[in-house]
Amino acid sequence: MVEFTTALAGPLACRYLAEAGAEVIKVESGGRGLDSFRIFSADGNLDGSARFLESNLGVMSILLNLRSDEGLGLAKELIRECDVLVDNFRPDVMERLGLGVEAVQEVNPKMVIVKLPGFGSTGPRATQGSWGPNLLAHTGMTHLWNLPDHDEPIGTQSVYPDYVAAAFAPAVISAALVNRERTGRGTYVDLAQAELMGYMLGASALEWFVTGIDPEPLGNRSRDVSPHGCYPCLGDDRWCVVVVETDEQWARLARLMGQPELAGDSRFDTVVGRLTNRAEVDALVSGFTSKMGPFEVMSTLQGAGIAAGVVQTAEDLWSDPQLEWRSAVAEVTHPVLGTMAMPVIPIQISEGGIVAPTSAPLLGEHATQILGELLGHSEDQLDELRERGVLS
Amino acid sequence: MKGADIRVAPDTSQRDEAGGDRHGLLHGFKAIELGGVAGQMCGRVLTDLGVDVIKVEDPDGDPVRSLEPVIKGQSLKFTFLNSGKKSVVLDHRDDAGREALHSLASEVDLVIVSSSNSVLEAWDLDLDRLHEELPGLVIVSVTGFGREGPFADFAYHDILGMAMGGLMYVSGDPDGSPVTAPETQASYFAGVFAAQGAMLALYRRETDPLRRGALVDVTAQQALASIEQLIRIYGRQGRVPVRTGSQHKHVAPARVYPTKDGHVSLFVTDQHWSSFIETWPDHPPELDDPSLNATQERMARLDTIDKHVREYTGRYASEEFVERMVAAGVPCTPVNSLGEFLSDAQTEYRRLLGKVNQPGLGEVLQISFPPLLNGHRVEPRPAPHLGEHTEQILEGLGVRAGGSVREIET
Repeated sequence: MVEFTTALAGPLACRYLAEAGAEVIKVESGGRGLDSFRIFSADGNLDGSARFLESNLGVMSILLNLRSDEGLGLAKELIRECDVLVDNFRPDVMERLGLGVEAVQEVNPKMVIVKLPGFGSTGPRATQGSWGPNLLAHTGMTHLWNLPDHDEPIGTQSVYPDYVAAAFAPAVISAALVNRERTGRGTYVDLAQAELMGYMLGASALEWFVTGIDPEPLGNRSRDVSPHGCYPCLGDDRWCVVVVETDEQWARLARLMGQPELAGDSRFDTVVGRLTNRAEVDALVSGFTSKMGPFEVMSTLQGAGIAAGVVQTAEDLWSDPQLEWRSAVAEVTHPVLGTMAMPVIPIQISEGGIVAPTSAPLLGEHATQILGELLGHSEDQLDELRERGVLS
Repeated sequence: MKGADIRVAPDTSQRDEAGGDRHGLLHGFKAIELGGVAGQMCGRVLTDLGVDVIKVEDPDGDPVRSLEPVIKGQSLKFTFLNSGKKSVVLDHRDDAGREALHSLASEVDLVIVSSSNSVLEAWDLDLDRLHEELPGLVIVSVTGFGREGPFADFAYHDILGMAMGGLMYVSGDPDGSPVTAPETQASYFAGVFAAQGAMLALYRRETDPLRRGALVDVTAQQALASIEQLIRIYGRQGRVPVRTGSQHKHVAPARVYPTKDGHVSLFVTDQHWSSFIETWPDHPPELDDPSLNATQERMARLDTIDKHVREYTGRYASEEFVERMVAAGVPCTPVNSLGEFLSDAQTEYRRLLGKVNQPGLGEVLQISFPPLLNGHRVEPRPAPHLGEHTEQILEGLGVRAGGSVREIET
């Protein structure tokens, strides 16, 4: 695979494929052609960004001057050798470099070409720059990700659209590769991150169409069951979540709360009753949970077969026994940043389907390997390319 | 804007001329799907990729069929998740029903399972054993916590995935409670990763001379815990990220700001800061401080930056402010309602919504598969009614299920 990517969605999608065994070559160019996460290091060292490291595990790096004809020529040589090309720059960037879809297909007609722009490669907003939070806001996700009575829209601090795109793209890439095995044809995939957010709100979109009413935020409530929410616990900013689906579970919760009479209370003994009297139900549950730590709530309720969990902090994730059981975190060692722990791809595949990540590349680290071993250029040729500033 | 006002997406039948992808990238592959929302999201992605996905339901029907929003007796959540699938009714309480499920498994390429361990036991379905018996099969398990481990038998609901995966703690107002994401986002997110796992394993099988399948395992908790850098930040810095509302962790000004008539989402990185200031002729002189060219410094003086930027955004209507920013190349969008996004010119131009004739609901617009493939839109299709394809599938596959197979009239 060859990737021309920056920041999160593109690099992370390629990182996942590297963890699944793909040989991935990341091409960067000087200036704005560098991955923007490289500049997030504390001391300005382009190899010192932990955020870059986390998003680029297991890939190889080459730095070419893509504004020179020779640099572009080398990129095309690489494109000829690869099966998949991924880019997540604005749609006009690759075009301007001379690496637009048609130019790539001319060099490699069987290429699976994947673009992950914010708004898509066509249409009135195609060239509008956007980052994850802008796409959350544009698509209604920010509006809907809120408490029902909160005035200001909040959404999340997360750049969630990038993560969804990174999780989704490898599925389409692999499907396109299966299709290529059978038909000999490549596929051009234009995946707008905004449209993917729409897919993640598919039921609400259908509701908007069918009822003509724009959906409003539900917060931590459910329209199907009650109690369903986030409740305070003992401790500084500690919370738990509790969901009761059946009347039997409600009766068990009532006993645990020391108020067994609530099981037979006509306000609460059916789902409809508990939904109608949601405020009272939530007050009862809060009264119970606020006297306990969140882990105690979880173990007590789960012991009675009731869905309850801790609103876990980063520290809790670090010591979570289930994540540990699944080996969700691996240590990687980087020549500049040292050894640190990172989450691995959250997919387990039997018979060695996933390879443990090792590290992220230094800028241009694999030039010799890529141009020499893969493309057959001699050491002398590489030296000349370096002298002329084509290769760094 | 009201949903019913939007113009119906134009006919896209010309995509047939593009050749090859008319029936989807994976036309001819078959899958069966058993269980709840996460597996159904995985199945929806596979359906949109062209896989023939057969949903196995109990005679009582998939519980998702009764989840809100329910309109005219149809669950819209079910309709969205099961677009284009087939429905087969089998009864796990009958020997013949359980045998039919195993026979179906031997006839397909993929099995997607998101039921709990106890439900699998009722079906007499042991995934490890199935993997041994049918080594060419790609078996995908997607659950809240996993089939093994300390939390394997925990009761699970979507909000637990969001909470236990860590994303919920950093979402919401710092002065209020954490807030979960809309719809059943944890399960959807896990479903997307399950689809990735399914496709990785299918591609490996298709390129393997021995055509070996795989056991694929995804959990909502791990999927969410792997994002947002939470584990790395705590492990490296000992720092616990907390809720910051819409404020981004490292970039400023990067949050939701109020306008005259709503809100906008602004994202000003170092490469946009000077262009941003240029759009603002009467900006306070203190913002000319060259040290503010670095986002670290802008984060350090966030209160000041926010106060001034709020005053600036507050002078304009959202649309007007966004136009100013877009003209200067500064990333900015309005905070839209879902309806505003769905009726946006870009959404219409790219035909994100597809026309579906959904029995019970009539003609509706559904979200289509997000990626355009060779410039063409994969159209959404109707969701099946309960048992709609029981006879067709079982006869077509030569599977006999005796008296346990019932077609349910709707």
